Amino acid sequence: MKKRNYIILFLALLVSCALGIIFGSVKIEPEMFIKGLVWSEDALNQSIIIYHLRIPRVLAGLLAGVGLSISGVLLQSVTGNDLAGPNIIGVNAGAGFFCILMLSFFPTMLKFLPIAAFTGAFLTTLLILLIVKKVNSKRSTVILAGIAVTTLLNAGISFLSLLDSDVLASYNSFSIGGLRGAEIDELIVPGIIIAVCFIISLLFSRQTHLLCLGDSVASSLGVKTKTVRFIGLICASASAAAVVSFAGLLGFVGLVVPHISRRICGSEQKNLLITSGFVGAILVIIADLVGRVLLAPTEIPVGILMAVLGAPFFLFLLIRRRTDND
Amino acid sequence: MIEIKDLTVKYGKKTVLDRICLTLSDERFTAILGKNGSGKSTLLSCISRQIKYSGEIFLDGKNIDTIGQKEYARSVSFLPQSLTKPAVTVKELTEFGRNPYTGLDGRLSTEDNSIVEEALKTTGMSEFSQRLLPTLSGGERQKAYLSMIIAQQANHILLDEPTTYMDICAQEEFIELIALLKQQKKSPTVVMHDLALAVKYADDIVIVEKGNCIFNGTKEKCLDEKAIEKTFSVKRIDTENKIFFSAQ
Repeated sequence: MKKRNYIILFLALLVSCALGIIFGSVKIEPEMFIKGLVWSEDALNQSIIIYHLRIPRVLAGLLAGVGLSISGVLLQSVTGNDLAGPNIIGVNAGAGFFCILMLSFFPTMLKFLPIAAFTGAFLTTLLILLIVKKVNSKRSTVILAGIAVTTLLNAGISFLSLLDSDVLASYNSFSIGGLRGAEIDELIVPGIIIAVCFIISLLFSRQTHLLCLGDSVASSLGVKTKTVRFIGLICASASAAAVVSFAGLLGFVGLVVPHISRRICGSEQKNLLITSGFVGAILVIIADLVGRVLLAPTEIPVGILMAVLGAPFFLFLLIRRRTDND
Repeated sequence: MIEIKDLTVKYGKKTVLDRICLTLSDERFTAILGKNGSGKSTLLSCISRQIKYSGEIFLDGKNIDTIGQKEYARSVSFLPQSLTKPAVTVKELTEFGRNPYTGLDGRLSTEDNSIVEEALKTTGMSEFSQRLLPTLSGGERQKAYLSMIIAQQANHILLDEPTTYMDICAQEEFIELIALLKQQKKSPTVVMHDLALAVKYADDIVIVEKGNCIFNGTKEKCLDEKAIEKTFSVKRIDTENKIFFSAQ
């Protein structure tokens, strides 16, 4: 991977962040925008929009993109299945179920929402792996087990939502996934979790990459396959869960981004993680921006836009795999 | 040298390997023969520490359970029967062979790089070095994996039916390559189905039947005792200094 590519991606990220801050459902003239940036007295409204709405929102998009992309890359590596992603194999639903469980029984303990999301995501991942181990290790089993577990967890989420109308209201926006109302304060803990997961993933990237050879070959090359897979799963669950805690069940980013990134940088794990981080952040920030301006002043949640883009992409992957197999 | 003592493997109630005792000598090409389901692959899986077993396996007098993962990978390499075809180049795959010698980041030294180049030359895969594995034929892919194994520089090389996807010419060429590794003081141990190729290239023969080791010795002894004929119910044909086997 050439440095030039990273520079291009970095510049593209800066441009998307700038666009995300400049444009939105409320149109700000250039002169007022500059005044708003410097907290000029005659542009206080613009300052509030920029610093309290748009910048936190762009940061949330950046974190969501990076977190879900890392999770997708790791899940696809440790399961050996390029159709795996945090929402396809039930990780998002697991995190969501535990968040709703928390909201239902401990509605005031919102600070513990990331922990609840992490626990749910991690337990779901373990459950999927357990099912795969019991049934067989075919790639399709991971997907089918994920669908089954996701359906079950979604049923649980719906049931808990029905019991409490307040929970139902918060669940509706939560399930679509969006960045509306993001606040800097609530991004700090998820940001730290995602950063730590990213660093650990980079440290173990070479060993994780070797899993593509299958467990037998990887272990005969000196890789502690169980340990590497376990670390990969923890990082994947934690980063996806961190995103769920502030952006809800934002789908398809973790599935789509690693595939786009492979086209840019190949399959080497370290390059793939870094490139996916950039691509994921750019994709979510731009999708959120489009959602804000397309039908302004009405907003389309970024989760809906990602689903519109992601679902056909998922079908494209399935068709391409079938063609490859034929 | 690898010594195996009372090696037993059970899957549920079924005994797959039953108190096997044998020795794999240094710098010898050992062919493991046996009918389908006899336990040949399970035997290799035990030596390569892929599955749990009872009994003991020693590498140069040291119980393999006490050897660290990377240290073991520097002494014993293994290729299973079915191999994946990830989107990596032949060169990247060969570089993976240096993993037991590198740190967590897998950064290669100048020496590592020259070992990789040499391994590619040995297998004749230098010109394919930038090709992705999925674009190679079955035989080429096996050679790419062999490059990785050579770069790993382990003394004991365990291969489970490595010629499965090859035509007859490619099979012989591949086995010849493996036999040449003895010149580099390596000890290949290969599960084989082609009996003629086994007696042509191997120094020692191990025959496994229904989970038991029924023969372990030199090729000459194996031929004298007609161990292959008895096990596989085949007839031996000697012609022009070559040995063939045909169904009776």
